[in-house]
Order: sequence, then C-alpha cells, then structure tokens
Amino acid sequence: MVLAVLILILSTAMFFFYFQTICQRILAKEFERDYFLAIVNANRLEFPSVRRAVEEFDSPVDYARFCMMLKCDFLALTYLLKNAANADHRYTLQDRLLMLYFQGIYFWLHIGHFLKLDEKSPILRLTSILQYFGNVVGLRVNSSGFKDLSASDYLLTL
Amino acid sequence: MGEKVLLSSLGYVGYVLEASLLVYLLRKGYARRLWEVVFYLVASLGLNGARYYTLHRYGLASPQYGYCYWTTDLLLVLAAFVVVSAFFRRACSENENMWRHVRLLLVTVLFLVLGISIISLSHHTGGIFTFFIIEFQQNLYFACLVLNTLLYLLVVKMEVADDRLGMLSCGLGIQFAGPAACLAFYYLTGGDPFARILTVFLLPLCDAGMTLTWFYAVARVPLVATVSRGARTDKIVTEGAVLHT
Repeated sequence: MVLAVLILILSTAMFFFYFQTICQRILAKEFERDYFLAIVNANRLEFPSVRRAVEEFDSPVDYARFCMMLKCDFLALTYLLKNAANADHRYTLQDRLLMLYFQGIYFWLHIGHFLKLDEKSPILRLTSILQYFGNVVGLRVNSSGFKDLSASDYLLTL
Repeated sequence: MGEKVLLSSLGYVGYVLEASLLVYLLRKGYARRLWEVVFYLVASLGLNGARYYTLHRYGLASPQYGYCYWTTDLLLVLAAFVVVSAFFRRACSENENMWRHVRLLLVTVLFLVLGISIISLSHHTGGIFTFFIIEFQQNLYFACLVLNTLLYLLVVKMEVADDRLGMLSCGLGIQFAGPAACLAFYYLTGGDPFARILTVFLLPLCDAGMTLTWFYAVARVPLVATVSRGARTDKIVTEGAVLHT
C-alpha cells in the first residue's frame, strides 16, 4: 500500500520531469542566427522586452501586464507558425508539443502567482518558447524563396 | 462503443508509429548502431501481433486472451528493462569500472523486484495472472523508471557525447512513468472504473509519446562521435556534417 502510494507520487512527478526535459531539449536547438529578431520587429512582439525586464532589473514582476504581453505574442506567433511560409497550414507535432508546454507553464505561472511563488523563472521559460517559435517562423520565411522581401513585407502579404 | 473505437484507434496509431520508426531505422542503416531501439520495436510489434492473434482467435472474454495479454505485457516490461541496461552499457562505454558497478546494480534491482513481488504473491495465492503480474509489472516499471532517471543523470553528469542517448532516455522515461503511475493508481483504487479508463487510455498514449520522442532523437538529433565532451575538439564530425562547437 505504502509502496504503491510512493510509486504513484514519484511516477507522476517523473512523468512531468521527462515531459519538461523533452521540451527543454527541443528548445535547446541552436539556430544559425537569430531569425526571431526580424519576426519580433515586423510584428512588434514584446517578449524580448519582458525578458530584459525580468533578467536585468531586479524589480517586482508586473504580473498582469507581462501575462497579457506573453499571451498576445503567443497568439501572434502560433498564427504565424500555422500560416507563414507553411504550405500545409498545419502545426507540426513539435509545434503542438511546445504549445502544450507553453500552456502548462502559463497555467503554472497563475498558480505560482496565487501561491506567491517565484514568477521570474516561468516567465523566462515562456519567453524562451516564444523565441523558439520566432526562430522557426523566421527560418521558414527566410528559406522559402522570399529573400528579396523583408520579414515585415512578407508578413504583410499574409 | 465510442471508447472502444478511440482505444483501438490509439492502439493502431501506436503500432503504425512503431512500424514506421522501425522501417526508418532499417532504411537509414541505423539497425546495428541503435540495436536497442530496434530490439524493443521488434519485441513490441511481435508481442502485440501475438495479442491480436489471440484476441481474434479466442475473443475478448476468453481466459486465453487474458493470459496472453498479461504475459505479453510482462515480456514487454522485461524488454524495456533490457533496453535500459543496454543504454547504461552505452553510457558507460568509456568507463569499464563504472559499468561493472552498474551491471551489479541492474541484476540486484531485477532480483529485488522479483523477490518483493513473490512475497506479495504469497499473501494473495492463486492470482498469478492477475495480482502477481500487475504488481510485478508495476514494481518493474517503477524500477526501470528509477534506473532510467539514474541513466539520464549519468548522461548529463558524465557529459556523454552521444547526444541521442539523452533524448532516447527521456522517451523511455515517458514510457515508464505514465504506466507506473497508472498501474499504482489502479492497484490503490482496487480496479475502480475511472482508474481502469485512465490506465487503458494512458498506456497507448505513453507508448506513442515514447515512439515520437525516439523518432525525434533518431531523425533530428545529430549523432556525435562518441568521445567525451571534455575531449572534443573545435569541430566534431557528425553524420555527413561538421558541427561547430
């Protein structure tokens, strides 16, 4: 009985640990250059400024504003993932997994805020996921024959 | 009816994924290099084939199908244990001394799990195909999960240069953690209908999760020459490419 309870608790914890590790390993993929910068500039995304604010300034996290900014960037980037230079207009399994991971951390951020836990670490993780999405979109735009157009010019055609 | 269709679909998706990964490995010529993965996929497909044959021959409610189901499940867990052991061997390929300790640990764990399950069986005599196998499987799944976590930590700590090994280990972790948790929940609730539904749906999902992670590891993660990171030079020759570090 005690063994079964122990197995249940530890196995559940390890399931989430492995899920997170897989996502982190995918996010650790290095791109040749920062493709996300063009996408950020073209769409006025705000996650780099959120990350800078959390990393560089030791001020309290503006929870409500940061949540809104990250959620809006997430919606914009997932739209672009599906529609920008993507002939299938479908998410890949990798995209779906990372979207699920984003939602999971976003949910955890709310719980952490409610329980007054650390908010900076989940916010930084959310920005790293958004940066990855930005890099994927940027790479696709860059390699799909629109090199004579800037990222913003291309995105305006969508 | 809907539950059955969904469950069958999940099962078939899992088999198609496993078969696709097996074909991919064979076509790319990775069969020898990743023999552990090939072994597990062949075992899984073969045992599931035997299960389907029994189902169609004897029917869902037959005792033959029950025996076959639990026996093939047990063999699959044992196959997974072999895979974890082989991954340990791969991780310790540059450290024979550590491998000797790890080998002793693996054998001890297997006999410990068997011993605990037999002691438990002595309290529930007559239930070898129900109680014993479920408990043995649950314990072995959990032991494999702990061993796999140790493996993952070993890979990270020793900075094993085989980058695929970490991802393959994570895939196994998903495969072990989900079923171990479900079987423990099923055991604790005494076969509650909710626990049963959770178990039957989560098992194929974890299976598919592992296969997809392995697919990612094989297709997307470059295989780096097996030298420790400390000994890496500025350029490491990977499969057909040069990876700058």
